Amino acid sequence: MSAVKGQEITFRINKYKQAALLNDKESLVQIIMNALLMVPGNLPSQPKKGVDIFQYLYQRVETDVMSDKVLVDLKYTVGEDVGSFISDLTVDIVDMGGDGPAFLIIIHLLTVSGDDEALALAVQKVDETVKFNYSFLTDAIKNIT
Amino acid sequence: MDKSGETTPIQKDDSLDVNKLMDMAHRKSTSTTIDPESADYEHGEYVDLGDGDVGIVVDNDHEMNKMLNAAKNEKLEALIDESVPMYEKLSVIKDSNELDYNKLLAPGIENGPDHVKSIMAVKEAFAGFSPSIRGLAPSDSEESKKYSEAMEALRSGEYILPTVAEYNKQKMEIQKRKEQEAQNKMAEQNSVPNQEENREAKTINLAEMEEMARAQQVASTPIQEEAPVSAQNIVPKEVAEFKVPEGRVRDFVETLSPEQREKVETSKVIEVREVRQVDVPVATRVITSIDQYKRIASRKVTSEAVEVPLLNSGYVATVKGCGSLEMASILPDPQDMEWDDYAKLYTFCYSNLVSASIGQMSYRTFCVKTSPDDLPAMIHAILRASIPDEQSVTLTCGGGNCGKDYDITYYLSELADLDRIDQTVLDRIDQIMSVKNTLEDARKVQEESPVMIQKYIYVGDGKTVCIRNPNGPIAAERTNQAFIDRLSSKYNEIVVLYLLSIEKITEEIVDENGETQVYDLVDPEVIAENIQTFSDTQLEILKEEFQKLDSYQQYTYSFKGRNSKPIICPHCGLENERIPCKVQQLVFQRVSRAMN
Repeated sequence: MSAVKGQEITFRINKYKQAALLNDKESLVQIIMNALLMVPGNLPSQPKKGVDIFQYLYQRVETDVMSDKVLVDLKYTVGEDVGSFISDLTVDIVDMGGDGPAFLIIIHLLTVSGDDEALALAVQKVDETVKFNYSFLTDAIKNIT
Repeated sequence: MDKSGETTPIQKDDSLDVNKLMDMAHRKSTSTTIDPESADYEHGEYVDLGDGDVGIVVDNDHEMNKMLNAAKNEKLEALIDESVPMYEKLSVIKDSNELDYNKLLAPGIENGPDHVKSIMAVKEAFAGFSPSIRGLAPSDSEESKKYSEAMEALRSGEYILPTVAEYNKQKMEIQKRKEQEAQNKMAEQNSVPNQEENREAKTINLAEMEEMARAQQVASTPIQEEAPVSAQNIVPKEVAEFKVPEGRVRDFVETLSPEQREKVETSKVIEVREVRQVDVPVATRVITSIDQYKRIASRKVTSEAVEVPLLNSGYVATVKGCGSLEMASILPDPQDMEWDDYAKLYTFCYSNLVSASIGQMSYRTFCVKTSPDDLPAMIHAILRASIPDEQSVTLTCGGGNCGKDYDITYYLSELADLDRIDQTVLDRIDQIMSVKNTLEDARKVQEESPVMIQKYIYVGDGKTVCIRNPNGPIAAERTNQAFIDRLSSKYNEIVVLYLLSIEKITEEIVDENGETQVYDLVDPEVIAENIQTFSDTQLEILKEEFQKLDSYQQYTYSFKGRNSKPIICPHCGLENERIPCKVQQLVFQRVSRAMN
């Protein structure tokens, strides 16, 4: 979960022959994705960390209950530094038809300056590959609430 | 996240439309009409509560199992080839939504593929063997039973494996035991317990187990006929070696103990080696050159060593004392009490240098890195290391009509005028002393010292002059009188002065073909010739730059009274707070005292 000066580092090389860094938003998405996909026990030294979002695929729970649980687990997993920016979260499972169900996770973020920001994450497991996409939508939180 | 297009387990997929998902999520929350006639409720049971509420009750566990099994079935199907009989069974099991692996893998293996049959055959063949110390042994053999007992003991923690040393010791003990058995013809088998004082668990006797295995192997091999014994085949079991003085064999045998003599007399083969001791003369080498001598002569410090920080050179030198004869090599000119030969000074200082804070240096490096201005300080330190601190000197009173001689006592360590040193020099001393124990830092400070700084000044006409504070090579070459006289007569004294600060001149000359050639002029005469052609403006530039060359003010020395009291002439009472002296005078005084 560590970031270099607030930016996540990748294994690629940029055009300046240095390690390619993700920008702030991409770094945040990466941190949240890692937390969502982590299964408790993946980190032997932190056995309780991990949201394991795909466990909810086979559970019939209310959306509210699922969202609350995911929020709590996510905040615990990402730690205080990033968790303090996550103020609310909604999780929904949407059937995409041929490829199976997909998770739609909308995270309400509070930026340092106090502005609202919303991150919509789509996560889907197709065969053995986890596919995801995201977009930052400042108005999304207003539409849903 | 990988954007390079490679397939990874987690991929960002732009085709996964977030907005579409959000729309679908909105629509999902609307109500749905359940039609009891339709097959919508294949996942559950249609329930009518009677009061108008209807719904589908879903058995969550059942649904989850179904989904899990579906996933497993899919994967298993993908792994199994259609031609395999198991594939059909899987299809049957899949329909019933039960995945029973026992049913899948149960009897029918004889109808399975050939490689499975061969594996089963190999398994049966090895069924009668168990692990042992040598690898595999028959299951009912003593060796494998002992091995399994030992493994069990290891697992229980009551026993531990031996270390390599212990294992070797076990082997040696078994060897000794065998020898003892052979000698004494006793059949007592000892299992030697190995005990480590600081371990609670006992050690397994690996060597014993190996020996047993080997014994069994020997017992199972058929006995072969022994080869006929002949003289050539005999190899003595014990070899006793004695060194016998030449021609004294018979006497020597008489001196042996009865047991040894019996062995000698009953031995079938005796090898006698007579030795003679020869004295070899000790070799001496003749030393023919100074270099050879200096290489082997000890530079060990037997007398006191003195440390002195060198301001312009930028390091701390540790010097040892020397004798008067050696000091006589640097005797100054008695007329003007000035050093006339810097080359000798450098040689003298280097030969008495024990160590420096910048590490060991060769003579050449020492000359380059040491400023000639620092040599008096080094010589003063060498003096302090050579003679006792308390010294006396005869002074002539300079007051009025007195002019009489009187003796004073002075202290070498108090000669330096420390109270006249300004703050920059004090800071410099601090700087040098603070890094004297750290090689890297000391070298850094030294490299930035005045003696190492070179400046390149472009004076026009394609000429770049490299100026610096004089270092060893410049001082040695360009300060000796013969050189000064020669160049002064050829050019003038001013040119000679300039030469002390100019290291070289780099000149670009355009030849007749129009090509520019760059020349480095390093010979002093050539530089002098070149300077002669400089215009007044160019000389002005150079003079200004010379003045900007930094160097630190040197230590001064003077005779003082003890505890900073003034020196008083006992004849006329004239008081002198301090009487300046030079290091050259001290050297001259010491050498002349020793010579007389």
